[in-house]
Amino acid sequence: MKRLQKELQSLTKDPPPGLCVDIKSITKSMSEWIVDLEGASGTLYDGESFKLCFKFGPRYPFESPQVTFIGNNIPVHPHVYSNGHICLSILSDDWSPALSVQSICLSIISMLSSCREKKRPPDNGFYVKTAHKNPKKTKWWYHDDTFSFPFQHLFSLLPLSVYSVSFFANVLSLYFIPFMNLHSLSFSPYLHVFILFLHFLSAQQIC
Amino acid sequence: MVVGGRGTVAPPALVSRFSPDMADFHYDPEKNYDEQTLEQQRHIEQEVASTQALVSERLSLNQLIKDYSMEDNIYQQKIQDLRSRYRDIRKTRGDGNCFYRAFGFAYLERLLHDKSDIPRFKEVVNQSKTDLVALGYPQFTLDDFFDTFLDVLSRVESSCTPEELFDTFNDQGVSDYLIVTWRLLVTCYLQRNGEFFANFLEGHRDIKEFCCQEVEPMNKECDHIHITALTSAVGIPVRVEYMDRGEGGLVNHHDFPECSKPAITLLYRPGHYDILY
Repeated sequence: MKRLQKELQSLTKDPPPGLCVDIKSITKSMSEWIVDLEGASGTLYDGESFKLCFKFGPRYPFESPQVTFIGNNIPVHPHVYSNGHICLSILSDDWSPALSVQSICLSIISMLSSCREKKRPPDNGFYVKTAHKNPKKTKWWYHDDTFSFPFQHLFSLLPLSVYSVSFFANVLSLYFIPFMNLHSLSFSPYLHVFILFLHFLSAQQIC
Repeated sequence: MVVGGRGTVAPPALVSRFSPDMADFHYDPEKNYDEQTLEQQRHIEQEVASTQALVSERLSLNQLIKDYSMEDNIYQQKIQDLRSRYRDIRKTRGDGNCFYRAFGFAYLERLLHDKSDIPRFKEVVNQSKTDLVALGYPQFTLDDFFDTFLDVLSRVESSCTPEELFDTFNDQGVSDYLIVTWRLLVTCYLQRNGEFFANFLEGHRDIKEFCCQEVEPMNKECDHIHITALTSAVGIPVRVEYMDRGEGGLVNHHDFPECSKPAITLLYRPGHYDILY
């Protein structure tokens, strides 16, 4: 509560360009806010305005707030679903207590600004039909924005033999990790687990 | 920035291979399993939280013997080796914050007995906060964490008893504020020495992305790079005893920074850190 008051104070006193907290929308317990957002000039969203709804749980800032687009204008963007849910890593896995309402808004503005083509996520239909109202009940998969297509397609390009060889190589290396000298390992176990995980994903035809 | 698509999740299908009561499970691609998956994760976290204290009492190393089967020769031999050099262990909760929690407790506990390092350490903490502001971190979110941290430090300096320190570390509200501050000290040092540390990153991430994904979020585990950064940032040398499945019967250690005289000693078992005495 104290933390949210501080955030509100800083946002109303010195708002970054394109951001405006709707003071009237804030509930007495401060657990719900609406923030008005303007598309940055010179981007695909120039001249459009959006509404972001923030809901804070009792463990904020140790758990991320629920953040969704609401209202009539949900931005058409490859990472924004038509129900207002946003796929952005800092809203779940990469949330840190040192982030704030302001840093979330700025990330969202930056996400919109870097968009090159207005379109919905490829699985929008399925997701909107089956998703819970709360986006925090979705298990999100993230990939770097610089990838031009999902990982699944990457793996479908590999001939099957290459695929299975690399798969077993990874399983083997996982098996040997406990026997290796930890000092020389640095970060590679995570890489292997990650690669294995990717194989698992592609085998399940998801992603 | 990392943004992305989403996937309908398969873990419940994975679980069915191991759990007999889910043997009839059939994956339905038309259904969304996210909620169940997250529920299962929460359940595991709750179970860990209800069975492990954030920081335990000091226990005899003999306790460790019971953690492994008597037939497990590698570990039983290594425990004997540890017992020749250490007497006690203090366990921490396996929640991904264990290194920071163990390191923080061991250091503050040491300060209770020898306060001479406090002024130097306070200065380091204050300087890091100034550096973080210069790196673009908003002052008011930093204040929250650093104020709590410095407040605990002042209490250690003036009137804190070992019992009070123990209670502080087991009060999740305060304890987690301390964890965030340690994480911020690491992120600050990594970013200020980004050119050097970038050599140790794999993949396409730069140091800022690495910090946002692997350092600042709670529950993200500590790796070699984090420990190197933290010990260099705060000038507190640490010895880590590595107890793993490697052959040889002896527990190897590594000092951060190398050739230093360690102020605290931690025990590493794959994926987890505890305190050794």
